[in-house]
Amino acid sequence: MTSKTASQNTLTSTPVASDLNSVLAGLDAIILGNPFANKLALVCLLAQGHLLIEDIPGVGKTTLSHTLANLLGLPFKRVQFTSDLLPTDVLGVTIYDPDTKRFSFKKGPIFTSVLLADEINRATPKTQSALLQAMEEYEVSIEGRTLSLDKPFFVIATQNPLEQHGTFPLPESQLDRFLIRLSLGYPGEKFEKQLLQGSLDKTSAQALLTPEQLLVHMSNAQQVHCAQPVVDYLWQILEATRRSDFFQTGLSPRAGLQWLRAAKAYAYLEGRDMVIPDDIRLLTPYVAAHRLQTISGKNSAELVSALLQDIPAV
Amino acid sequence: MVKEKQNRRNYFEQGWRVRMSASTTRKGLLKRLGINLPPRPTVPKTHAPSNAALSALTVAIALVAAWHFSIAHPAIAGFTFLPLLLKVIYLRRDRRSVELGRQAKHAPSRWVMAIFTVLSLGLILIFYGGWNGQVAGISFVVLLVSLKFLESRVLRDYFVVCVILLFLASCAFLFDSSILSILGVTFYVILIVTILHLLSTPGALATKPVLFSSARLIATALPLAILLFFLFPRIQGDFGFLPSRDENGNSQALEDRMIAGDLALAAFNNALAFRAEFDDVTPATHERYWRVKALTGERNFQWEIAPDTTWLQDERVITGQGKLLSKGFYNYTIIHQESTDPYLPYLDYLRGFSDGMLLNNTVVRLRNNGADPFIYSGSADRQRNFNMSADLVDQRFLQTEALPTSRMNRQLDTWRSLANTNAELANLVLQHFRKNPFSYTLLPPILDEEFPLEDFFFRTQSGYCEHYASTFTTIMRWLQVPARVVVGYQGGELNTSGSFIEVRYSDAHAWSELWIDGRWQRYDPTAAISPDRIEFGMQALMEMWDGGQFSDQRRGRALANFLNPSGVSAAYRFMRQTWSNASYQWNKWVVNYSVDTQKELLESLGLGKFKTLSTLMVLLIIGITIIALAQLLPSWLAREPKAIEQRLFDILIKKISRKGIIIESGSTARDIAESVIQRSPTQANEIQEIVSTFESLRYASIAAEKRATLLNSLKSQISRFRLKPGKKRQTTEN
Repeated sequence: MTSKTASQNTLTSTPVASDLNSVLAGLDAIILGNPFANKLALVCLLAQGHLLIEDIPGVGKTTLSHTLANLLGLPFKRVQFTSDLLPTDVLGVTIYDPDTKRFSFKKGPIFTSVLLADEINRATPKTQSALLQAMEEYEVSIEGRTLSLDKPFFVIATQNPLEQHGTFPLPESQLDRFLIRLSLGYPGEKFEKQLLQGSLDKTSAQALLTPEQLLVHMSNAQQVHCAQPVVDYLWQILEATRRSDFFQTGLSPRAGLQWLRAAKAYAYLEGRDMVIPDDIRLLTPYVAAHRLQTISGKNSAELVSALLQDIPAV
Repeated sequence: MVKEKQNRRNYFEQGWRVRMSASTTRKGLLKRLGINLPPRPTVPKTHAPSNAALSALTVAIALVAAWHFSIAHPAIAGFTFLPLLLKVIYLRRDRRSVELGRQAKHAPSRWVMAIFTVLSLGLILIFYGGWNGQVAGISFVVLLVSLKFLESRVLRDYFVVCVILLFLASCAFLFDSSILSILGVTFYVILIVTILHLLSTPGALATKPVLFSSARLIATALPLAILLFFLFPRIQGDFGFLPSRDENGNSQALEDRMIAGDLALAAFNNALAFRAEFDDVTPATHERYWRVKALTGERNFQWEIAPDTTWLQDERVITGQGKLLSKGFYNYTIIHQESTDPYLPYLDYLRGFSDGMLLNNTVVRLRNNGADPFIYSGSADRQRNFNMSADLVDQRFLQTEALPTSRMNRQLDTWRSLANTNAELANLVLQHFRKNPFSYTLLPPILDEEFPLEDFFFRTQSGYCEHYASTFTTIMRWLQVPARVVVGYQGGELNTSGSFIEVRYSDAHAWSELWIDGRWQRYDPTAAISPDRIEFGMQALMEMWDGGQFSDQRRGRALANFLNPSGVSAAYRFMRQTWSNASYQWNKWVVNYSVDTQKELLESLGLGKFKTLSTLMVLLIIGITIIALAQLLPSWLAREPKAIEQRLFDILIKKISRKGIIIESGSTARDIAESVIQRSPTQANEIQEIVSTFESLRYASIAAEKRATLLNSLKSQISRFRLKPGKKRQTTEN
């Protein structure tokens, strides 16, 4: 009967994660046809990372972020990035109040929990880096003052995959700030028809969690056990990207750390109390691909996945 | 959940289960030595072979099938293309299926395959009567590779095809080993390596031009191959490594009988007969009489080998070594092209020979005919004072079937009355040829059937060497001088870039031998008619040929052109001779590289003793082994010992693989479970339990006592596990 307990240990959901699963179900009910992308978005949030969605306009990027924010009961703000957007437009500005005859700080849209930075590659590098600093350090420095951001703070940035005029592609160092990059893709025949029939109610998303509960989940997720073999496995992957001829540079230690956070969050969402190599492997294209520049200009997701075939995973 | 799984699987199918060498940069000894090897192709197990790889493989097999035509029966060779064609159709269909998202079919059903197999076996049985013999064996393998290609479904099959193709490439040497063929085979091997490269690299991952890197790979191996070829101790015996057929001398031979007009036709046959290299002095053109056959039997202007020629033991002729190292001899080495003729050309007058056996007409014959090109050596007497003993001369050399007419008898009587000795008689007859308007031509007029000799002698007076040899010999017999006709080659072209003589079939010649003063002496009536033929050789004479006759007007210019070529003809001759020299050296050093040649080479390198070399080789091999061990041992020793649960799981993997489920490297425990479930869905619970126990043991944080119980249960679960025979072939879920 010991095997029974073992399977309970690993395969059934723990009650802690059940409310997260209902968040996921709520997300699936509105963002149709792509449950895995929904799940990755939630994993990213749980792992305290930021999400980069690379996709064509109109596949539901905004809806995803909005719905996620709603379901988790988090304040949501959206900034449309344009080439004339200034850092102050994102962070906030100090203005002179003639009534009080004092300067007062007007908080920018960054002071929220879920920030959708739409078409981030349209903004100038100056504005981009203002946002990206905030993403890394969870605080902003304006005119000598340092202000902490809300907790949790979660950026969902989108960018158009097609090369277009007037864009400033994110440099590698800044791509590294995003935990996960994914694309949503088309919803598929069945779901798109459902979408066209208009049977969906976007506003139906009710908050299922409080921000405090979410923070508890976030800290719990990082308590998931990661055994030595899994660490070995992850290290071997990192090392393989560094030794490979495919990439200009290998993955950074930060990438490894974030990867492990994401794997823990994924295992937590799955209701497991341990990370298994499958979690690491599953996340590979989403965590590693955007941090790797291929020499040949080929798809880095395929190349890094190919590397995994040489790494023993049992 | 199901959708997510589907999602994952889709992703996997697109790009996940591809495999590429991760160890593209190895920091091994080679690297430290500055040797950069191309990435080692790892054995891929799963991904679908790229279109480029399959197209290249199709081309490779088509090349083999085309080559097959040159050796096998056309019916069998043609049949080879059938499975290939069918496979091309399947590949095209599969390509479309993939585009449309349908399942690829890869290969025809087992019934079709069975029919093909039976047909192939049947064809081989019908045309060869079995698989014994080189051609039958190779046809068998060619058909095999074609059918294997047709049958191939997964990557591993295509790899097998490549291996068979490599084997076939080496088989090409069984038929031809000229420079051109080795170049062809090298190119082919590069092609196969490229295909292996393409197969092991999914299309998306190909980063470099593979053909180039494959060529580099072969080039890297080449110096070692050459070194081993020359230095590795050779095994005594014949591997059937056949000599080159580069000069299209395929199995030609001089006829065993001489009919007037035959050799004249041969004058237009420019195929190479053999090459001879002289040790020190090269005899002048008019000295180079290559004796092949002696014809004794006369059948009214036709000559043939006497049926009673027997093997002869004559201690004055040196056998074995072939070369006599004293000054009075021409010592030479001959590399003979492939031929069906058992008689070997030796320079007249024969004193030593290395190969074959001596017959009583001073001709050397092989025991079996020399289908292979072969190398041998000989010695000739410069003083012309050696010949066979007198007891060999008998009535046979005086018999004639043709009888002289009265007009001829009158002529014979005149000669008899004028001469005292046999030698004087012979000179009188030659003088007659010289004084009368006899002419030398490649287009001799047709002769009277009943009295061809008289017709030629009195009326046409125009013929080729065999006419003169035949007429002269018959007349000498009528004059009671023992005589015979000798057929062979005269002259040959000196290859100045390699300093050897090239003798072609166009150099074929016939002359006479008379028994005078107790020995056989050479008399060439052609020399009396056409001194140019003997002085400058056939090559020069052909320059004077104007299509109808050897014209005297052309003589001056032709000879000047022959002796001092200029411009285009000089360049052409230079190129021809250079190429010929290259293939001569190739035949000498590569094709005929034997134990003896190796010994010679090593002696010249100062590694004289064979034992020294063997010791050197053994030391080299030991050295390489030690280096290899030193490379591998540290990592082998440093490897982490496997945990107990890992070893238990290995047992499970072994159990599963034995039932034909392929476990890819890089698979996780859950992947393995999934492939088991696919094969045998009823065992889903069982395998999932095993996997979850394993995962708890390996990845969870658990207390020591719980670990012990879990280990026990894993042990019993795995030992209990038996994979049930499920569906034979994995069908798709969609």
